[in-house]
Amino acid sequence: MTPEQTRILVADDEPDIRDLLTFKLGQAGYKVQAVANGTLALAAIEADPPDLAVLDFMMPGLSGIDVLRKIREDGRMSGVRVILLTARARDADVDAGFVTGADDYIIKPFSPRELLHRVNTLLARPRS
Amino acid sequence: MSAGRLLADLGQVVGAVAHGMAIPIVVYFLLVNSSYLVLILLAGSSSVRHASRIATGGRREALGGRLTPGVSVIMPAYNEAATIVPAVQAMLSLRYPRHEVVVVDDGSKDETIARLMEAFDLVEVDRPIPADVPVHAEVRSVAVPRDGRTRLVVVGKENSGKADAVNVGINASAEALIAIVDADSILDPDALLVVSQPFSDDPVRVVATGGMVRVVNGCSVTAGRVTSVRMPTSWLARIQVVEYLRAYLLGRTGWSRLGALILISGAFGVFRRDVLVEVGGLLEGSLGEDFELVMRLHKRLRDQGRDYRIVFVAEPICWTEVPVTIGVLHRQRRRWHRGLWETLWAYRTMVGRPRYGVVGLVALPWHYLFELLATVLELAGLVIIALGAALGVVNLAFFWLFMSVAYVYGILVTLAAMLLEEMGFPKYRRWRDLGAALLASVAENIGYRQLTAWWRAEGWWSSLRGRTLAWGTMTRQGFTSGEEGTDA
Amino acid sequence: MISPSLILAADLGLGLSSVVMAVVVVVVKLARVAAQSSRQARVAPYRDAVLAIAADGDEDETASATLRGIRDRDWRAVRDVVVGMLGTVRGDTAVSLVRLLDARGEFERARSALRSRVSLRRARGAYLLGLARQQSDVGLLLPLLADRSAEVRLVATRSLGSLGDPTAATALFEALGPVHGHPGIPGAAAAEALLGFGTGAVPAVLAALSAEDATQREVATLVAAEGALSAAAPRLRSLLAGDSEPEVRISAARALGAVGGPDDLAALVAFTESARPTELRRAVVQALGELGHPDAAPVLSWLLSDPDVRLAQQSGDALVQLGPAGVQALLQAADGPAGRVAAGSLAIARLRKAPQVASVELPGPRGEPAARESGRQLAGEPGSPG
Repeated sequence: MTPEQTRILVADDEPDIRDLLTFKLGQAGYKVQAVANGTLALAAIEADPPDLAVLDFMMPGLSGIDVLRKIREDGRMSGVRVILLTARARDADVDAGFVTGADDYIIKPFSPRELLHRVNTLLARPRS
Repeated sequence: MSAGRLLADLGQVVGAVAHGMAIPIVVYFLLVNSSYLVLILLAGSSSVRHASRIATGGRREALGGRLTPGVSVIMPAYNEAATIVPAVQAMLSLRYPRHEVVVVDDGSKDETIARLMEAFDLVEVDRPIPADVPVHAEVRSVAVPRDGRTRLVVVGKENSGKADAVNVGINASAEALIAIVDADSILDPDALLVVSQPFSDDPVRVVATGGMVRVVNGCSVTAGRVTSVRMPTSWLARIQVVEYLRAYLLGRTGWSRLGALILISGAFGVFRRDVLVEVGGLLEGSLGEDFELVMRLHKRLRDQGRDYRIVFVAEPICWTEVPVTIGVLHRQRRRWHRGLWETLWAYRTMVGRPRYGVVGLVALPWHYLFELLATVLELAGLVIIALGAALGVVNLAFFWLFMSVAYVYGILVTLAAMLLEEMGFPKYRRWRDLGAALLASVAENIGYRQLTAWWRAEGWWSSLRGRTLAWGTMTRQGFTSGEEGTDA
Repeated sequence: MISPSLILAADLGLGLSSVVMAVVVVVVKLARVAAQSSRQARVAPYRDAVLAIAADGDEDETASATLRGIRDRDWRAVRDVVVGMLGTVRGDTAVSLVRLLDARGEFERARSALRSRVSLRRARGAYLLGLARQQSDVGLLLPLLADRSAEVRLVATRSLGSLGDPTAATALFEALGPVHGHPGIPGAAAAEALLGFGTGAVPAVLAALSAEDATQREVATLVAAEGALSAAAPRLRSLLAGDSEPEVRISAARALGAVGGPDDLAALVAFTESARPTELRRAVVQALGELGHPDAAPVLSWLLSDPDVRLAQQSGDALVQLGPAGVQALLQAADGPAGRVAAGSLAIARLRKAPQVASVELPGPRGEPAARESGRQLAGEPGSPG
């Protein structure tokens, strides 16, 4: 699959982060859709599952982890790779993220280069 | 004696009373409104400075901090099936590193618990609840989410009132800080960060904090969050918007800076759990629940000679729906004021005693004098004018003077509050909202204030007579997701 | 007697003031809206350049060159966006953003702002220096720990934490106490900053455990706990046993749970006695759970029937953390007077999918075969075991 066809969904309530990720991932050749809250994220994933989703943990309405849980429960969407992005750095939260089915967990403030690297790595893995 | 003579004599009496009372009433209102203005000046610098501090305030860092104190959010609920699920959802997704939500169902007769069970996939657990604070009702059920991770606890108990429900919540809470929230209040995402900051900054002394409450009617609410702030279309609600603004800026911020804050909103307050347990939680049967709690804290801590602080954070973080019909508003105000007077009376022993510091020497006497006396004198003034008009002995001079110092000055005070809001935390974007607010500041004084003055007196009167009041229930339609806020 | 002129004065005066106030409100809003849109207009052409640096590091320096050359007025608007981005990113791109700020003289201005008489400016200056991360600024920030403004003290503490220079550790501890009549820096902020210093701060932390000031001792125990400082264990033991401040003893108990070893078991167990203060007992029980040593099981089982229900529950949860020995103890207690507490802890542990209880069959209340699992009904119904 060529990068141009790979679609990534970004969900974060901070506009700076949305812009940053759209820029960075867009520059790398991915097709990026950005939404501002969990409800919109879930709707977008249900409508047309992306290849990877970067979800903020704490968003108004549905949080990133709620969205994650819902898409893991639904067979149609369970193949979407998910990276959780959050300021919550406590071990309990990281564990919760992985237990719920996140593929990776990145703590804010984050390094955009590292994030791109992790996105590339995840997308290179075959879908489970 | 003819009726005409009788009326004429009555007219003379009224005229004489008016003549005698004119100066005292006028001077009194000059003082009241001037003191409001002074409190505004105190509030003003606080609010605006607070706004400018946010950038360097470390809120974001607190979000990722390992040592940020945990908060248990207690939500007492009674017959809230229509709105409970989005409300709890919103509380769970507050931006805070460590918090849990404890819903205490006060024996609802509707499907409150059932809806929660379904929405959050709850499982009942047979776990006894600690008895740190004595409670009267029996706990019927304790349920937690099946995933074992979501920090939600739903406690069902038999019906015994909000105070008992909150106390059960205190017992069931795990964290060191307790936030007490009404089930129909909406919090901003950063609300917990804002009100827990004083506890981090001064953990030894701060025992309670409160934030500003705004009116949500007219705003659009999506998934339990206010997404768009607008003035309501109902004039009654609009007037309450400016009233809340004035009351919070003046009543809370000013007093907080003096160290004499005695009113934290019932819609949202945060307390240290150990202190709450020490004073025994909320008092059952008291109509002035949150007010009574804070007074008890003051009294107990000052009796102990302890150095403590109760802080009001001058930032709007909580939204609540206000009544749009006169009937419901009436019941609400009568209940509030009855609670206020009952509590003021219960703590009368603190007045004038140096041991109780600013609270006993300034705040309480001020509330007695200005709240109580203001009501009585305002009504007296209105009655005299009305009688005088009816009997044809209108004292125009008195009339105009009374109107200006009581009401025009009142408009000035409200406008000053609006100015501070504009400088500190402007929330209304549209120009028409500003226009509505300006008009509401004037409209408030044409009927609304007079009506609430009457209701304040009613509340006082019924507190004296100890009558039991029926609870008014606001019919709530629930906030629709994504659409314009439901509003009259 | 009320004179007509008095009335006129009152009406005019108050009326006019109200109108003026209303006009001022409108003017303030106008000014704010105008300033906002002007700011946005200034930033708009350069936002992509800022994103380029924040996202990519801007290796060919084109974006940085552009931003270095823009007018001061435009820069002032762009600067806030840059500073905002610094709160979001770290690593190479953050360094590029910092270099940009430096090239525009922001840090020089921040250093002189530290001497300003306006506390807001001092705070902003200290905040920026925290972003700059230049070790040479430590000396400039240290005196701000005793600033008369609480806000400045707090920002200075955090900035010293981001600079990460452990030589500031002792000064941070000393700044906890009251200074010149103001309260000291907040303990939590100091602890977070100290945690950022890494191992270089260890000597200062160990020394502070024996400080005279109780706040210093408490912050030191917090840092020892979060920083996994096992060298502190002996001192923590004596703090638990004999410190004059109850808060310090409680913190020391928690810290021992995090960094202690088998030797500390006896010390902790001694403080579960019913004569001890309630909060201390609770902290000790939680520490025993975190320590995870199976020898604590007998004491914790005993505490399952303690009259303090919260303590009993915490003992149950602690037993789960001990592993097989603790779970066994809970199962044994499930039939006795502490049955509800024990079963409750096991049920919660199963929900959390704790590995220790995953394969264990749980007794329900009153000898029923399994814990209730139905999420749909309030009335009990035997659920499936396992």
